[in-house]
Amino acid sequence: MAGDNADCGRGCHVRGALVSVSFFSRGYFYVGMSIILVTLAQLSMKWGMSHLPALDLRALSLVFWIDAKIACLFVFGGVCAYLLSMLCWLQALTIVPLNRAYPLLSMSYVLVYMASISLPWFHEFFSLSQCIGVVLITAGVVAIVSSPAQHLDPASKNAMPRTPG
Amino acid sequence: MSIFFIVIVCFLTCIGQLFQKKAALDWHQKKESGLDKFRNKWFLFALFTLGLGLVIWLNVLRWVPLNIAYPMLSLNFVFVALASHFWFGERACWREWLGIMLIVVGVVMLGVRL
Repeated sequence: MAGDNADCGRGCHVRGALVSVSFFSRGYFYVGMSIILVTLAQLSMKWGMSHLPALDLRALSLVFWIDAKIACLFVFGGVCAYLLSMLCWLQALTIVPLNRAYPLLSMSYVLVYMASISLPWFHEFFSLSQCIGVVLITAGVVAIVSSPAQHLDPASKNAMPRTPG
Repeated sequence: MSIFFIVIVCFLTCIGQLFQKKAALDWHQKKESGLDKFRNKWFLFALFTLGLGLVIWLNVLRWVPLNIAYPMLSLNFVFVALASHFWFGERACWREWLGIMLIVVGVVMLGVRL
């Protein structure tokens, strides 16, 4: 696209010629995994924390923790999912530029919202403004993913060779 | 005062992302493997800044309602894009900036409840 070249400066000349980061490439796979894991972590920690009894002196007794074991399990599972998502994220960053990958994390806001209105035990309700918000975020993500690739941009001093596969 | 802490959290998260990127680059370039990956200094910096950010964030949440605090965090999308422009020379083209703006407005809309 001629317009893109004018807008993006030097990097764009290579863009068309060399690569296009396919939506289905390995980099986006890791970004996607990271988003899904972070969403699961949020939901699981939210559920766990809100079902954990208030911590007071009773927390000193074993019975307290046996009673709260399911909630604890969810909080712990959430933290584990968080750590896993960080590993996926670091993998993703070796392939996808940060300024392109980071905005995609906002899909997790959308997924958390969708889950919290559709799962009855979170007691959240549908609202028009939030629905518009979801549409805007999704449009933003589509705009970013569909814009021309630049991870082999030689203007970037940290450009990495593409790993095969 | 809580605005001040929210800005600090934004700053720490942004720095944390940059350190993560640096760690990922290091892993890739130095072919670090196994435990070495987790001894990488950029990885440890990232853990530290993100951890500190999380602790401050949890405290912010005690005073500020989530639907006000969370949208403010979306400013991070702008900060990270600017920072990766200046530090890593990642050029965003107009479509990516448009996407970032749409996302920021969208996150704010998700926060307000009409």
